[in-house]
Amino acid sequence: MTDAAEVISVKGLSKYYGNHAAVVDLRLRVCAGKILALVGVNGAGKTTTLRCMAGIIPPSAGEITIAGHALVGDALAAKRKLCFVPDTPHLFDYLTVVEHLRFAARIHGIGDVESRITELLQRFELESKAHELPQALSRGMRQKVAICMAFLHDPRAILLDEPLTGLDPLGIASMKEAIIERARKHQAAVIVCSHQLEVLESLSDSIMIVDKGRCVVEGTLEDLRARVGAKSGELSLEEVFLRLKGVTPRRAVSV
Amino acid sequence: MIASASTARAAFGYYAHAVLRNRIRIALSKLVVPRYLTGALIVAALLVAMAGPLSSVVWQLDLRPWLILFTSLQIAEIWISMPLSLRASRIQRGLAFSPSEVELLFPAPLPRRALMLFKIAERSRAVLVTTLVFALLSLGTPGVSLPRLALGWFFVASLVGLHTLLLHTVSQQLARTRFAFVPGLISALTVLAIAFLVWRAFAQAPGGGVAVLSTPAAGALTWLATHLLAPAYSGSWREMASTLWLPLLLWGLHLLLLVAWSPRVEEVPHVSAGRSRNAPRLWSLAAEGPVWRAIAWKNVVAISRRNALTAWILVVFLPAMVFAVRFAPEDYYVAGQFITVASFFVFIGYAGLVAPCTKVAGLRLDVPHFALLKSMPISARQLLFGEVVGAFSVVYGTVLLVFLVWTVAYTGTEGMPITAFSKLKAAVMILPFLGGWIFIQITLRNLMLLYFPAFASFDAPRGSDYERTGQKLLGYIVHFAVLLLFALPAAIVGVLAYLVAHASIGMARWESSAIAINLAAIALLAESLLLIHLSQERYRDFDIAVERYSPSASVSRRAPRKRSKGYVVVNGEG
Repeated sequence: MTDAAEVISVKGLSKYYGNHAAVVDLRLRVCAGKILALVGVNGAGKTTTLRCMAGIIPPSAGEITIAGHALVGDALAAKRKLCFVPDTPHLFDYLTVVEHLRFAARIHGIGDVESRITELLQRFELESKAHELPQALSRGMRQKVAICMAFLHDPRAILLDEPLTGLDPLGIASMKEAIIERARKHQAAVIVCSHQLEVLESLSDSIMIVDKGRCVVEGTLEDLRARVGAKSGELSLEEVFLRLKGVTPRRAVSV
Repeated sequence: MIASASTARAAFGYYAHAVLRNRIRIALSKLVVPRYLTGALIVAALLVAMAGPLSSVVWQLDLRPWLILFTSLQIAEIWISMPLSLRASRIQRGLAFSPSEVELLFPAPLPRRALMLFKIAERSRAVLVTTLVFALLSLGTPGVSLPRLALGWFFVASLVGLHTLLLHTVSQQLARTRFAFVPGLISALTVLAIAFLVWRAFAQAPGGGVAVLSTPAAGALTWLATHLLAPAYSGSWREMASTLWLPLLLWGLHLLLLVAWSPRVEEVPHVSAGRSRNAPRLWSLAAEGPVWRAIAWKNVVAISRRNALTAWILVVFLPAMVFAVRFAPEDYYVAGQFITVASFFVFIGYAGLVAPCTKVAGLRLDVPHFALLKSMPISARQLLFGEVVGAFSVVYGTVLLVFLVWTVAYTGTEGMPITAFSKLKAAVMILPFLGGWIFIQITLRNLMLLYFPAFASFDAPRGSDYERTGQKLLGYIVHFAVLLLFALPAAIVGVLAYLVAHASIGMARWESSAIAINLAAIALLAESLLLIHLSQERYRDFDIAVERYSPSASVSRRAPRKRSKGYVVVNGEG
């Protein structure tokens, strides 16, 4: 794979809050059409990493490039190519669902957007909620609205922080399908953060495990299995993760 | 199994004790942070001032009639807003449970009565604060004593709270039945009755001023508040006992009704959710144009929907006022003109000083959405400008509307008629200056969050802590100090323009004034734009996580910088 296919590039990313290191010298690259899963315990630095990459918080050090545009020097061009779905979907209290999408379209400078909005609302089963305010929506529906806003402008880099939280089984399946479609069909580079390891296992091309802001291990699931001394196909991602953390998984208890 | 009343009391008692203990613990731990210590000191100073110099001023000004009027208006407002609170956006008033209360208390085996008591007890803190403020402020009044003031104001404050709770609960319960129209009917009748009494009061005292409050019509309007406040200002315990019967009776009645009634409070959140459907479509966002317009549009929509109640009152009140003043019988003509001018100046004062500080749905309300907004391709300048323009459009739009109403309604008095040309002159003098003045105030209010986040109280969940009140006060002081600082260059521009136009060129006085005021307004606008321009970097670097207070975190801005050689490649070469 050449550098031309590289969409997300992070070099030496660090983020400090006083003396507390949230992220330390993180380096990664995600190429077009690939999905990277970011895994770690609570407070490992996953969300901070994504927020730095989305331009929400300034990094203490490091370089972030999105589709060839440096996030620090050419922020607007980089942000036109990315989307970010936060872990908690904070929608605007006084905008309806469809108004949220029109607002996002306007920010991204998408002209004729109505057909695209209709398509996304249909896909995520939000048609009947189009003219409702967020307070009338369940958490899962809010999450879907945030995802619709994110996918509206066909982003090349997709940053998803716990995108499946609050979704029903149909929503999860639909979301998984949409993420894979974005990567494979639209050649987007995707980074997904989630605690639902079985979903990540089926979704991702590679996995990075972070702890205390540092990369502990990275590679495909097979690479990770090899790292803990397991045979091919022997352990699930959850079991690999627990072993890396030094925890022995408890098998089914027989009565 | 439903918990017994004593079990519920024990649980809520534990909750209240734990909350109080933790609040005190957090409040004390915050005092090591200079910004919170400053806030606490300001509140302490304010309380001392209330008990001392401020209470003397209150006594000298004899504010008691105004306190009675204030209480009367508060009671009237509860009645008027009762039905609208359900239809508009103020659904959190009255009996509203927070999400955590719904999640934790509703599934618990508690009787509805216990939930109701919980809500009443929860309000006691606000009641005690109101009691403290008004009791201290009234301490300079001759013949009063602090215990009687405190007891009297406690009954008034808690009664107003109980009354709000009862009426809103009734309204919410009726909303589900075929009698849903009743609150609206009561509200409309209340508005008509108040309008009639105010009209009569001004007719009975054509000179206006404080004399209006002494008329029989005003007496009828303020009868309840007068009797409710009488115990607080009684000269002896015997006098207090003789006047306490009405507050006590109403207090007991409200408490009895609320506790004995046991309404279906579990369904209130669902009623609220149902009402939020089908939000009124105001106008659509144009598909193309500068990005700041999208931000401004978002804010205009938010302010309009948040203040739907005020908008409805204005929509009803303003045409009614024009109609009443223009077609009033001759006897009422002077009173009508007086009301028109008085309400115009009160509104201009409100729009010029209060509204830019309180009706701003800008950066402060966008804090939860920073993640979304900052990940979007919006430049800091466009975002800040859009935030300001949104609130400005609403406040200034309302000013223009009220000015239009004033020009139609006000025709002057017999001795001093107002011509169309005079109104045009007033428009040229007042409107541009108000534009610049409101714009710079809204700009400062928005930027305050970036430069003094601790003073913006942006993360207060419900109510506010004592040190936050101090911070807010400090915030207002800073706001007005900076405002004066930025008004100075504009004033210099205005004075110079006047001198050139009047003294050098020889233009008429009003023409020179108009030029001066317009140039001063342009100077204010230019300063606002400069401030926005200079604040871009601050917005880009703003990280809300650093600004929020965490009792366990010791946050320092010094960040060690180091690089290691770790390198990760994901599905790529190299």
